[in-house]
Amino acid sequence: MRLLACCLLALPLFSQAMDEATLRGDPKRLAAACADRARLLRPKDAKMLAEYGRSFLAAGERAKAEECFQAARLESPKDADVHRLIAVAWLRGNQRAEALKAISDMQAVDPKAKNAFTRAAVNLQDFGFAKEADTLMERAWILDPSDWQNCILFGRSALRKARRDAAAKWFSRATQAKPSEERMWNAVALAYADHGAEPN
Amino acid sequence: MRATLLLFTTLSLAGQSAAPLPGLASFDEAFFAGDRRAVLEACADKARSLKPKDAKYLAECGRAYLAALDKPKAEAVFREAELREPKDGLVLRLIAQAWLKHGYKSEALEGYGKILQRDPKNKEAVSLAGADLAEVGLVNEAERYMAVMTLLDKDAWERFLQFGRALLVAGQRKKAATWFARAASLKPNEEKLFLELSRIFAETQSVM
Repeated sequence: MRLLACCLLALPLFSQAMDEATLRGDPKRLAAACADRARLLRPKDAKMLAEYGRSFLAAGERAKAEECFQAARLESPKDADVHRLIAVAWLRGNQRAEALKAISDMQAVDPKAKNAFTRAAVNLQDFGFAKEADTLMERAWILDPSDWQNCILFGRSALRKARRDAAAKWFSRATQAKPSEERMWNAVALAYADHGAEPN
Repeated sequence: MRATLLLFTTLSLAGQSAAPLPGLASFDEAFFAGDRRAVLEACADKARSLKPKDAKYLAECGRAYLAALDKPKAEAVFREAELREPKDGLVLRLIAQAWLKHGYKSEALEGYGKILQRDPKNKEAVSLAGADLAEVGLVNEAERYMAVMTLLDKDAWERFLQFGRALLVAGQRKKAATWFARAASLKPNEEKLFLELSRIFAETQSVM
């Protein structure tokens, strides 16, 4: 019965054509419409739910976003990356307190998730939270000082925020971790070549 | 006397070799915080010394040399990369992209042209060329590559999305919508497509 009701409610969305004219419309509304559509097709994937929430937040639909975040947390409560994605959504929406709460949740549910910590540190840095980013990155590094890729990732993001000293620290750590790794040297060179811009 | 002289000469040479050789910089924090060009050259040199025969690395090292404003060195490694893999579209694209990123438009267009001449069925290289060119606003040239791409694979919805995104970054909303619609018509029930579209619209609002 409930399923039938859901399907009936979803009918207008399915029948909504995503044609050229529609796709030229208001980007915020399009972000939400596409998220709606994706959610109908895949309603239970925690990471995707977190991302739908991000689009709803961007479209100004906060209640719907929070509902998605809650559903994401329920689906995968111990997945650090889900909490990070929720944090990114709040960061994009300029909601500092909510973002930092999600980052804190991320560390609590999986205190050893070094890759999620690194990505979250990059996200924090990208949105101007340098101090919090440094602290979190330090924590990721302590978990595995030999992980040169994470050092590069963070160093690169420091470069794009014009934090040359912070970048230098992490590139130096990367080179100490694996001095004979050609991919590492190449990655550092390209980070400087691109001024730390996000790779395509 | 001769033996003593020889000993002094040997000692003197040994002393010289103990001094740091050019290029063997100490890769500490101070070095990475220092002169950007020196960092670029040294890291690219190091990557090259560790993997001197890999065409993709050579092409990327060339990009670093270009960023360090060392054009002759960049050209030399691009030549070497091309000699090693003359028919690899992805290597040719890396070289062209390096030129494009540093503002050498004619070299870039010539480089992308080589993909169509030498590896015209490489869908990835052709579509990446289209996206690279679209992102910097060379829309007519970009569309030429996507036309080739479409002939190779008319169902490549992910590549159509990628191209649409590049057009959006360049501020070409109408053209982007055409490619998005094309992708959506191919996969109307693909959640990844709609998620990606939602991401694209959420992230590129500022350029619209």
